[in-house]
Amino acid sequence: MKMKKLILAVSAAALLLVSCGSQQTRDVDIEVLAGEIVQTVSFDDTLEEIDDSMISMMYDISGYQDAVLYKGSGATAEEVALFRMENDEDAKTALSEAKAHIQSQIDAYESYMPDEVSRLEDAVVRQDGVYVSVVVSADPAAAEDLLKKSF
Amino acid sequence: MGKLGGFLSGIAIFCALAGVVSAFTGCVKRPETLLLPLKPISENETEPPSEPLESSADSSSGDGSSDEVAADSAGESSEDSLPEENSGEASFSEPSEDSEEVSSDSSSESVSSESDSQQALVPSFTLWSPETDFVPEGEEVSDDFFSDALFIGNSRMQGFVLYSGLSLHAYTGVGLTVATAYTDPLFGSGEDKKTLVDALSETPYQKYYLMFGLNEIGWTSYRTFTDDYGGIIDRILAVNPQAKIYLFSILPLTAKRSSESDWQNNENVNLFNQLIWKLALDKGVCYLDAAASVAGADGCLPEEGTSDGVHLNKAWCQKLLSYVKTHTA
Repeated sequence: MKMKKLILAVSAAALLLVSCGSQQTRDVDIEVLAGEIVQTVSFDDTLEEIDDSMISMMYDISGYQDAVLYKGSGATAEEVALFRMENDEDAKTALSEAKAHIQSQIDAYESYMPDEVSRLEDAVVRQDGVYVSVVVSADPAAAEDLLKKSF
Repeated sequence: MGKLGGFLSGIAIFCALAGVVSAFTGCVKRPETLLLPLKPISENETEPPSEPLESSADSSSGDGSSDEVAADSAGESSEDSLPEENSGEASFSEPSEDSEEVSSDSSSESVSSESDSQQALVPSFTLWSPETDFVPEGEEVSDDFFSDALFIGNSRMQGFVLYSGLSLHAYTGVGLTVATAYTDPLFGSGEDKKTLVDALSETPYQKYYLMFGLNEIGWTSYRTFTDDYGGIIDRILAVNPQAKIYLFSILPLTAKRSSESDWQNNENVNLFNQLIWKLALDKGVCYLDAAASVAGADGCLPEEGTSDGVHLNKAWCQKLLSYVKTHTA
């Protein structure tokens, strides 16, 4: 009897540990969130939503469930990109690609528009569970706060 | 004395003949219809200058950035002449009585002093357009027309492609030039990125739209520009000899933006558009005179079409798209 109680207690504890260890993120509508970012975070250029089919031109990320991209006219390096992946592992890969995208932007802008490099270096690039977010803006702190609250 | 006279006569005849020969062959001929004076090419300048797009007032050119390519300085001279056939005008006019009332939207740059007695030059600007050999207006094509087209070019082309609302195939890059098209591996995925000219060999398309020039209009070597641009065209034709190739004219800048740079300005836009037009003629490809589609009455990009004087906003990209859809060959 005592053994059964012990086994039950250990099992319950194990279950609790497992559930606490995995990242619990909310189910987020990234279209709505991207719109909110564009409206509330400060940008120097006007950002427009880009057709889904053109996202692959900018980001080497595949297998996403959903994605949304806002880009400026080219006057600045500003953009907002949100991806929802199938699972955390895919999101981790996508995060790596997102960081690679930012680095390639830095390389491109270094000789083209050097003033944009610091903006790119301050870009918010983060993974929240199955979500990957990229925000290049005039106010990275505000972007980070909004993303933290959203996931 | 007789021999000396004969010798002197021989020298005189030789000099006369040399003068006649040089009159026919030795001159660098500039087309009489040349639109703008050629920029002097420095003897010491072997590479085209490269300034950041948003250079500060203190920045200087020629910093050896990745957008440069070594100019073929051997044999280069002012023989890099502009095409003879051209139209339009760029002239300096003396100010009228209303010169002080010129609005900020005018293309005129007032250089006048406050004194009424001083004569000031007020440069006027006319956007250059060719009189012949450009794609004329026709029926508007559907979006499907571009399903087998590839769009290639710099940040302006990137903005156009992204803001078009269409699903397009494209190789574009911020700061991309006809030089870095050969040197910078930007296209492809992962570790297997290729330069533009190498990436072009991968998949043949039926139509190619090319937009270059904005980042090169500070180059002093016209030949380098046309050689490099021509090489890209040759690479496309090697992939698909039947391809229809369109060369966009360089779109103008706003008057304000143009006045802020000694190299990235509308006068150089005009100059390099003539080079592109001539290149299109030489290669047998199409010249797309799209600059006029986005320009205002003053020949410049209107302020409402851009946030930085250079890159088109979405509304102006849509104007450009309308032009592209109604100008096909």
